[in-house]
Amino acid sequence: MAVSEQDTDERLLLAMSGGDMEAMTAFYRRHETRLYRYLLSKLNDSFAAADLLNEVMLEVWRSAARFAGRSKVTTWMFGIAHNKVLSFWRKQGQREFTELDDNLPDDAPGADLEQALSAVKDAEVLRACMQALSPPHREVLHLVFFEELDYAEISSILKVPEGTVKSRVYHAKILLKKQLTNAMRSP
Amino acid sequence: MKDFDEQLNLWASGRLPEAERRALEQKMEEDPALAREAAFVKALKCSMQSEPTTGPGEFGLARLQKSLREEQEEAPVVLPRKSFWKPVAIAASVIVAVQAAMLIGPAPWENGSAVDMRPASGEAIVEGPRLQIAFAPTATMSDIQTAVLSVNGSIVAGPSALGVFRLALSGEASTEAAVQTLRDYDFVDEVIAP
Repeated sequence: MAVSEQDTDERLLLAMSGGDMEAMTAFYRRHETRLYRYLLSKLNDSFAAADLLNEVMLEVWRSAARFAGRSKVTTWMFGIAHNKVLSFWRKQGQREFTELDDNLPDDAPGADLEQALSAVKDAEVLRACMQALSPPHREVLHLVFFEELDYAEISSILKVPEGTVKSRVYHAKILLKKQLTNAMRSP
Repeated sequence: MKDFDEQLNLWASGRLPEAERRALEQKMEEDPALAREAAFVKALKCSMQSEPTTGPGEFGLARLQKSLREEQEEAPVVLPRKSFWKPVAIAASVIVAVQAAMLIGPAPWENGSAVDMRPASGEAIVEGPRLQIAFAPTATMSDIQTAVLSVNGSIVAGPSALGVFRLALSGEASTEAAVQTLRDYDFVDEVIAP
């Protein structure tokens, strides 16, 4: 298949299901960066993220024929990535972070919105504060603010109820504000 | 604030429907805390999106292609499906089953069995003497019919590769007389009595 920029993800998957390596290459180039960023947001480890990027792309290749079109290709792809990370953590003997403190109190003692607002504009500070969050909190913030996905899509990727996504995003922001405030206060 | 959380996220990425956007911005004007929260969310989104991150790029692609090649090489060779043996196997199974039934079941020819075995032609085998007869190459079907009926016989086999027929005579018939009758025909080449 002659691959062009205009080919939809669905068309690429269709070609990949027939063993078209050119389509796989195009798919990789189109989604590599965003997928890598997503994995990095969860793993906080560039080497592990690169390894899992390879695994996710391999899985996309193997499963291309099974894509049913019930969701966007990217949602399906992020779902694969999410599962790969969970498997990775299991192999590493790490807990999966699925049981989160999604019932944190709504206020954030110690958070100062003005200070947080100043700090969030500093990319370096933001990066450091994001790294201090738990992987699931980093993950939802990434999906909402970088990928700009709806809560319904995130719910589909993470396989948790939409209400859990809503609550997790809310608490992730509170915790981030607290981190940012602390970063501004510390010398 | 929690009630507006999702709306604020959508607003920050410019995906809130127009009417909802106007309503939310109206609320922001009335509620400074909501306005500050909106400013925070927007700044968070801008900072996250401007964060430069470089993936493995072409190295990652080369690695992926290598993995794909290895996977294809490791994949077990699936022989083309040979389905021709299936009908053969089914037929063989049926034959075995029928034979087994015949061997295990009651012998049909024993003691007035209900099974009435007869030739596939539906006719009873003619008892009596047999003759072999060869007709001249010019003999017609009508000639052959005349000869056979003249001795009240029946063709029970033939013609063979040499054109020889086997005739069965009725039990009461005289073989010698039949042989003589048949030999009298011009179109009969040979008659052999047993």
